[in-house]
Amino acid sequence: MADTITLPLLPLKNSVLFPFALMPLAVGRPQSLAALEAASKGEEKLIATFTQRNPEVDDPQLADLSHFGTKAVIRRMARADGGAQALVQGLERIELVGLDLSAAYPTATVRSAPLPTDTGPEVEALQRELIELAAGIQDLIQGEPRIDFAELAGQLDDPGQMVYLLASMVGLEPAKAMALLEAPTRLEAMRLLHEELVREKQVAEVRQKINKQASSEMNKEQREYLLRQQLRAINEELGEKSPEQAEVVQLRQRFDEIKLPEDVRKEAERELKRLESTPAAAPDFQVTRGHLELLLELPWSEMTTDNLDLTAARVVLDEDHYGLTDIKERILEHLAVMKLNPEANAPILCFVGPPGVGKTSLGQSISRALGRKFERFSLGGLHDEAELRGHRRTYVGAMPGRVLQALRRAHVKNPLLMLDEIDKLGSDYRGDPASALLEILDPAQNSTFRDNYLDLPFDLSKVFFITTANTIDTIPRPLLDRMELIRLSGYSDEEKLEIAKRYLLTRRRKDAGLAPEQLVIPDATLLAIIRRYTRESGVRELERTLGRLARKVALRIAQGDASHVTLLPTDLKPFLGSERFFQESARKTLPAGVATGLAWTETGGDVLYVEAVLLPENDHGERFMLTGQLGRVMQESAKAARSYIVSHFAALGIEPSMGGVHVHVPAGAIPKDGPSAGVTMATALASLYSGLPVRNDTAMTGEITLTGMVLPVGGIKEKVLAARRAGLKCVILPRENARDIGELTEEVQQSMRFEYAERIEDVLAVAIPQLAERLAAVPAQ
Amino acid sequence: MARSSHQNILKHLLLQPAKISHHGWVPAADVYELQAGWMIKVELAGIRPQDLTVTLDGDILRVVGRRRDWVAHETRGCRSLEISYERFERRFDLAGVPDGSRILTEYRDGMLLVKVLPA
Repeated sequence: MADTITLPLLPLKNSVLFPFALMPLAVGRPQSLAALEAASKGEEKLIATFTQRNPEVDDPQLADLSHFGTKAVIRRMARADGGAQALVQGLERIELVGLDLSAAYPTATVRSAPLPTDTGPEVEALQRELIELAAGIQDLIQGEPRIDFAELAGQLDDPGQMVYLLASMVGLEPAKAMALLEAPTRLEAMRLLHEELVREKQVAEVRQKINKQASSEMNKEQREYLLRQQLRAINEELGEKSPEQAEVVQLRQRFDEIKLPEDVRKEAERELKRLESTPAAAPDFQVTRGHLELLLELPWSEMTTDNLDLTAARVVLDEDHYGLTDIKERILEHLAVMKLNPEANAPILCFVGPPGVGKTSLGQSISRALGRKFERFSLGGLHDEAELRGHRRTYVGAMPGRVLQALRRAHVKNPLLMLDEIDKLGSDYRGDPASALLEILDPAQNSTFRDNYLDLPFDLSKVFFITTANTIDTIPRPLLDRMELIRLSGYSDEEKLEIAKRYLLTRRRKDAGLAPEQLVIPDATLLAIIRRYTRESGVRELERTLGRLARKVALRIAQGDASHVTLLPTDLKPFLGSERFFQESARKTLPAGVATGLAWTETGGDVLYVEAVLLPENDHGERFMLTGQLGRVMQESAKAARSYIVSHFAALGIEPSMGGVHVHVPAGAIPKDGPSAGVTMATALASLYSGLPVRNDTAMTGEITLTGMVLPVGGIKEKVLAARRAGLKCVILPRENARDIGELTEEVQQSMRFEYAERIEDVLAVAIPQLAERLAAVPAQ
Repeated sequence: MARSSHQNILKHLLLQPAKISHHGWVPAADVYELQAGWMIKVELAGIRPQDLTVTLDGDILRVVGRRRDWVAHETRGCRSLEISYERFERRFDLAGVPDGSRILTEYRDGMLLVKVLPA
């Protein structure tokens, strides 16, 4: 063939020589050495390079070689024993036409096959893109010497050269390089190269990022180190210590001055040492310092001496609170125990009662009586265990728990710590604070209470814990079990009057800037306020109302309208507006089928009426209908009451009735539950069936059994007070509740009549006098 | 001389006299100014006159050619090879060459002398 030439053949393993590219070669195979020798004796030192498809083959045949190769010139060559080093430069792409392996060295018959110079928008676009990519990669690699690819491209005679130049610079894998060399069109070759360059650029970017990060970190550290060294040198020159060193020295001095348990001192020593070697800018510095300061400020051994003079304590308690005799007695008992056995653990009390009855102020009063420091915090809505037990120091912004914070504030290890609203503890995924409280409130465990932040045991056993709650229903049982319950029930009107006279009025008058003679409120007026303007078991609303009165009077006096004011009950309307509550008066007449019951609520006692009517026989509704938002227990109690009455018609001298019965308990909007209305239901039904009305001045409470027994119930004090407020004269109670009457003041006991019942017949005898006559006539079963 | 060419020459000075580029190898050269025109001396030993072309296109003087061996085939073999063979090219960007300038070439002692003279 006319356009073919024959050249010595140099098969390449694992590499591809591109036209225009330089490549150093180490030649070792005898065949290749011979070919190189032949080429170097040639006129123009030309040689044909073809890449082996399989690098393992030592004597490649035609099929083992790539179809396209490169004509090359030997630029440099040096022979050594058994091999040669050569530098070859590609000249143009060639196509392998034939192979002659028979001679002393292999020769290839080749045909020039330059890359087609196809053009088009895509080729043009790729060309520019390739130049940009190459420039980008070069920028990223930041190697020298720098090549201006755009200028280079302009200087090239053949646009295809660009592809090969870039390809040889990138260093492609043999397979990809071979594919590029064999690409049939320029477009194809450019595409392949583009793909590779994009990848290469990404790699270069990542590499640069890594390098930058490493070097910037290094630079910053070095800079800081240098500055610090300089600062140290300056400070030494000035004879000063650095501020943070001074701080550490100061901390150490403070530690030397105070008394600490051995293990705490050890830990402190360890941390001080660490602090001395930590640079102040390190985040650890602040954390460690904060912890050391906590160690310093916690009262490890400081204690106040309890004032165990019982007489003085009683005086203090009486000064602060009116009434509450029972509770004061219980508190004095505890003080007595502490006096006789100073080693005894402080008690853990829980005050339960409606709002405003003075639970928190009672706690303050106890601390005053005992001479202990007082600290309090509220558990209401607390739902994170860490609030109580602290965060571990690894967390950013970690703090000790509230218990330790309170002790830190108190500066003694035996304060009176009041935990308010323990019934309103929450809990969520961050843990259950109630469980943390179990440890805190357990005298057996809390001598080694471990706060997460402090990470050292702290003795809480000398802390006098008092918790408060409105109800015990929501307090977890195990928690309840650890505390001694003290119930504070509501106050009677007389007690409120005393409280108002002794504390509230005095306080409010002072707040308003009035002298005692400027505002005089007689007892009758106070009682009117208590009864008609407030209805509560505590005294908060009463205090607010008195405050309002005091301010209005202050306005008058300040305006010069009066110099002093004495308020009579009739004066209240202009000051406070219309009466807000009408005295709960007993219904004047009760029709047959209505009975007066008593209920206990969280905010005190209440009077309620049980109403029953007979339904006609032809009514196809329920035989026994119960309405008024009654709970399951109450409904069952009503059914038991009805069954008992119906089964004892004869004994009660009642004509059997075939109609259904509807029982309703107003007010219909308030949910009610509990068994204590059993006797009231029975009485209402007995009255209904017999057609005899129930006495309208008598209220009753008690649980009824199916055999007519009357069982004791709770909340007697509140219920009796409510009955009294309503103007009732007589209360029927279960016999076993007789002991609860002692809780009532003498005055209340005097003003009310109490009847005790063992069986429902006893109740009926008192409540329905006419039925009592019949019962007397019928011999008891 | 234009800035880029000046840089190119600097590069040539700093690198090697016979630098290898994509245009083949590059022979070393000196550029002299004459009273009128330029004289360029190119180190080109062992070149057959028929393998050498000198052209002037505007301000660009191009020296292109190829070096071919003529004695190696008589030897037993090559131990070391440093001389560049095959194609070479050298361009000179000469500022302000008047139109119609003449080229005079002279090949003496392995050096090619090219004079660019105004008409």
